[in-house]
Amino acid sequence: MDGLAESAFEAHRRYVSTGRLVGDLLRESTLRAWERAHRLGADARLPKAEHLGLRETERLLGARRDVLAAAEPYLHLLSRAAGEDRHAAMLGDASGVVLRTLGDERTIYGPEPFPSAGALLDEGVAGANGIGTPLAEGDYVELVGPEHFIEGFHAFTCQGIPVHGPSGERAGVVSVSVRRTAAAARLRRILVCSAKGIEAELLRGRVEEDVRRVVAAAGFDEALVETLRQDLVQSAAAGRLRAESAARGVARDRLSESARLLALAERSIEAFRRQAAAWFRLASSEPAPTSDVALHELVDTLAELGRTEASTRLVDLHVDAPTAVYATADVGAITRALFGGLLRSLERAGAGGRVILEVRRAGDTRTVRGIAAAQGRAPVEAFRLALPGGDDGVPTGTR
Amino acid sequence: MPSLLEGVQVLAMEAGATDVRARRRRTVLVADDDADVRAALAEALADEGWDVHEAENGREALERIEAGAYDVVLLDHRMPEMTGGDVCRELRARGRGVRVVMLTAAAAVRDLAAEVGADAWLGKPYGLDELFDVLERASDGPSGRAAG
Repeated sequence: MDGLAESAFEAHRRYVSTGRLVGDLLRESTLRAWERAHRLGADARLPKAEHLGLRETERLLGARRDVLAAAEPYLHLLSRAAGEDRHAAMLGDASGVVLRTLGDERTIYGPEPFPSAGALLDEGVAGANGIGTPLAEGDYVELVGPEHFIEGFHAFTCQGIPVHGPSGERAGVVSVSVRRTAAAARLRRILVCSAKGIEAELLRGRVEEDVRRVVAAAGFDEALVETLRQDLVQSAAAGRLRAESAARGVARDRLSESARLLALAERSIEAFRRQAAAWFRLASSEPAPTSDVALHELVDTLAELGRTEASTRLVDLHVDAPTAVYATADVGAITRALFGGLLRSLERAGAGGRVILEVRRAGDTRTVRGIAAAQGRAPVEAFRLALPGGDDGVPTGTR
Repeated sequence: MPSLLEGVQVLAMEAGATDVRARRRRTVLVADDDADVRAALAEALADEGWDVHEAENGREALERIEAGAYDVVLLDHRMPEMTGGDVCRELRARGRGVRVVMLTAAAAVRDLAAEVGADAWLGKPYGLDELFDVLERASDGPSGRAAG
């Protein structure tokens, strides 16, 4: 047992025998969790988690099919990354009830059964644990052995992280538990990436529902919107593929290669999130209040979204935005206008041509121009959008 | 005359040689315009014992297939130069029976695969285990029919 676990073991022993919390023996986040558990009346002597009834569990699983489906590939990925170590990957709902557990046979079906679907891991019932505590903290949490509040969980090192839905709502929590603390450290980054991957999957579900709204709101051709949807899904798919490759690498001790793949996975997932946000703005026809919009970032994201379309049309697409440029605008309206402009520019350039999206600041005006050059022809302005300047940190008069 | 032990070793070596011949490294061509995806697929497939070749667009894929012998071809659909669907259609028009697995995020993936004459398809996003399954089935089965 290392120093951290020894201190926590002693804190637990004293708490069980005296009912007093010894703060200086626990990490800050663990102490907060124990204080909550104590206040809520959790029993530190519990040998295992309490469970919902069978019918109630089935009802819950039916109601949370979306998050279960989104998480399934990532639970498998976590389990694979754990390799030969005794482990369990878990998904909990937003109230700390376990929805799914996956792991090696001894952990899942052995003599010390691991919490399964229907287990109540809210801190008020199960104290500090890898499901309830990340939910209460709203962040990534690790609990080493005796840092768990109830004795039944002391054999494991658990780490968990909340998962959010497309509107930012708490959708659940994903966690991974292993017997060896050293194994836990290897899984941390994969766990964090998995949470992002699950969130991307939940977002993808909404993107799929929005094709008709984009057609209606942005006025684009339905076939084009379908191909753009495919390109958007490709970013999420690439993220998952890279994360899965990274998990296989961790299981085989190829840690530096895995770290590289995880960085790529996170980059793909982040690109997907940005593009999905732009997609939702394309799908929205309702006017929004004006706000400061980072034009350089928006143009970059729209170029990302249109890059495969440009590539299949054999058009070379570039963004020329040398500085940060902010405009005051309705972000939904300018997203639709800019993307429409990008598509017109691609059309003008044609196969073998080139498009440059140029973002500039001129006095108090901000402009985005689409400059299209057909193969062997002089460049022409395919569109221009002029907007009032936003707060980009440049004093009026020098803009 | 070999001793009994040497005889056992010879038999074991012969059995091993047969095994190696039976499990010849199969070749796969991975055609995808996303270099990182191509690399991730190539590494995962190599780990599974495949001899992996790569193409970064549809036209290069077609050229490589014409020039080489592949057990199976993994074709991303949305690619520059030629789409994966165009490549597959062209292969069938040229009478090439190489086994093709289409990878696509298209909603009508089954129809697309059937229309272009792919042997199998996988809808994006897919997992590596699903990919290995489809590859096994595609490389073992008769060519020319789409199956998920």
